[in-house]
Amino acid sequence: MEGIIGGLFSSVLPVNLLYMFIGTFAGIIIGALPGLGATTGIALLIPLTYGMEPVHALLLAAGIYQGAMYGGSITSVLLGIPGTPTNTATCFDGFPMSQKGQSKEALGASLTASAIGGFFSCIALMFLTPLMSKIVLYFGAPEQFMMAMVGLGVIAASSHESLSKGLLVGFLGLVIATIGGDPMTGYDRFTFGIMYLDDGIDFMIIAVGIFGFSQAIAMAEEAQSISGDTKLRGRLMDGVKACFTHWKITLRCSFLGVLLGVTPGAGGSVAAMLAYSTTQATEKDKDTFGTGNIKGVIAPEAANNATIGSAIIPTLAFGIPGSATSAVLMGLLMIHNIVPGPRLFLDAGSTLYTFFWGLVWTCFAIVIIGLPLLRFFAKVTVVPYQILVPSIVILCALGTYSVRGYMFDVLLMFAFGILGYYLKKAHYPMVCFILGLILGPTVESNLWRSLIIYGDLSFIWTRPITLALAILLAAVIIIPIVKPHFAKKKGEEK
Amino acid sequence: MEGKRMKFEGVMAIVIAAIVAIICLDGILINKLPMEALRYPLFCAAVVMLTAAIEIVKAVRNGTGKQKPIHKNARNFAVAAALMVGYIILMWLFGFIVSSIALTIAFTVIYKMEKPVAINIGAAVVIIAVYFIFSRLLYIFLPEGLFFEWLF
Repeated sequence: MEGIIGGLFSSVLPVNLLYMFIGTFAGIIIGALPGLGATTGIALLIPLTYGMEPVHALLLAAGIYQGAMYGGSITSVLLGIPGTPTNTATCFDGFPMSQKGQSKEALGASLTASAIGGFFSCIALMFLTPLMSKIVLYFGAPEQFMMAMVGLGVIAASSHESLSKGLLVGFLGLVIATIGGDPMTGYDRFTFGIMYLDDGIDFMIIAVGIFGFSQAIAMAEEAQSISGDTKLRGRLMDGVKACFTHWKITLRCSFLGVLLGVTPGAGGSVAAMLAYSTTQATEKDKDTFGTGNIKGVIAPEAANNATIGSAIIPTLAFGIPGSATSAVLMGLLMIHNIVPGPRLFLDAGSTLYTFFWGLVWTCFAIVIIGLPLLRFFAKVTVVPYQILVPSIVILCALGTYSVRGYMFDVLLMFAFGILGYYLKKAHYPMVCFILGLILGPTVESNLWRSLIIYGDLSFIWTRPITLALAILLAAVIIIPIVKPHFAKKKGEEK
Repeated sequence: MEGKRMKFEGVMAIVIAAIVAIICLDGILINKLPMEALRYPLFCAAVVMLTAAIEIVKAVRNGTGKQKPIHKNARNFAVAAALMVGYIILMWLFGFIVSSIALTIAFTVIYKMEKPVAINIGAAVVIIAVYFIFSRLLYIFLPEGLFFEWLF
């Protein structure tokens, strides 16, 4: 407790607050640029921090981490291009809101949900690290496999128009996710002899193509700006209020984010997708998801920022990074002679608690910095399409090229853009496709690991958590199929 | 008399099935991967084929003589797609700056934007600034183009 209070006082020193604000501002800008995210931001920061005090370096990193996780939602809402993979789910409803002239409301909601999610995560990091460290030990390969299966099961709930359509694109996502090295045998699969495909297709390339590029083509075809002839309506504060009106969603998705953040391999993208899908499945107005429902913005944004603090827990407690960003953060810690592991809090307790409080303050910093900026950003939706379409295309190319530095990736992005354009025209649910892509590698690698350990599928019913998740999976699949029949029957009886 | 036409959803189901078939054929016939590396993707592919078949049957059954056109404005779509293909080719040949400036000029001219000169000058400044921010500050080197690589 002493460490926590000491960290609180240290974190509010003016110089520390300044570092946090600088980091948060830089993070928002980095996150808003497609292709760049928190990982790149912190990696770029490392060489600049050699001469700095460790606490200042960590506070800058805290700001970049929090800012970038939020910043990605700005382009997701305004242009339909996910700034980072974790903001992909925000496109589903954020962009349709912009098309309806409600960009201010969507931006306000994403900002507030991010801040609340991030805040919960930091509190969990500070007070629940010992408990969470124990929970994470129960999450082996079988549990991770079943959890990803529950996520895939949500396809049934997400494809409200047609289950077969949802399954078709969901499994297409799973097939595309198998391109590249096989996680068990190491063979290069389905690469067509193209060396650029040896590492698989980066999720960001597909997401930018499917959402951003296809949208640019659609806008050029219809010859109108994002919000068309609709005038900007709504206020930022309406979005802020919506997060409190739908407080159950905000809290539930924040909790989901904290839980998935602490699970190695899950990360912000999985958390955001699951938060979106479960919210869609459980809300009464689920048919309006995908057409500009503010709940579809709140859910993924609360969840992805809620992974920030909890993803750091396994990194600090065991030295096992829970995500790519945590891995880079671990590098930053080690450069400053802070070695993760059991002795961590004994050796560098005061610095770490200042860092934890820094993460808490950055949640407020994104609101303080974000609110005035968003008023200007929201006007992007009324910019004439003749300027906006080439800008989106350039941003898409920039985002995909930045991932690995290959022109081949830009070509792939174009191909996925065309595919996404036609799939949307044919009313295929893109949520299911993205679910398949994100969860595919987790499903496959953990399935094989579990089979190697157990020899058969008995791990599903012999482990209590997997059994509980299997029951949940069955419920997730069966309820959306059975529910309409019961509702129909009830209606007839009435 | 007009015959029954498949709905567009069915056409897309055929396209998806074809993509998945090509991917799988590469693994089975060309790369000749062992079964242990193919088992999981083939299971997923089988589900794709099954659901695609369901969608095709549904699309044929629900198809009517007259279908809604796929493109709201086919000309605009063709022009935009051509400009984007041209952009990628230009980027490969002449790099990020030249291709991006060319794309903005093409859009403002073809789609008849008011005050194109001022807008294009502004866009060129932003593009050059982005190039230098990425290469000098973020150390992410954007394409320079085959032509300039050959020239210098």
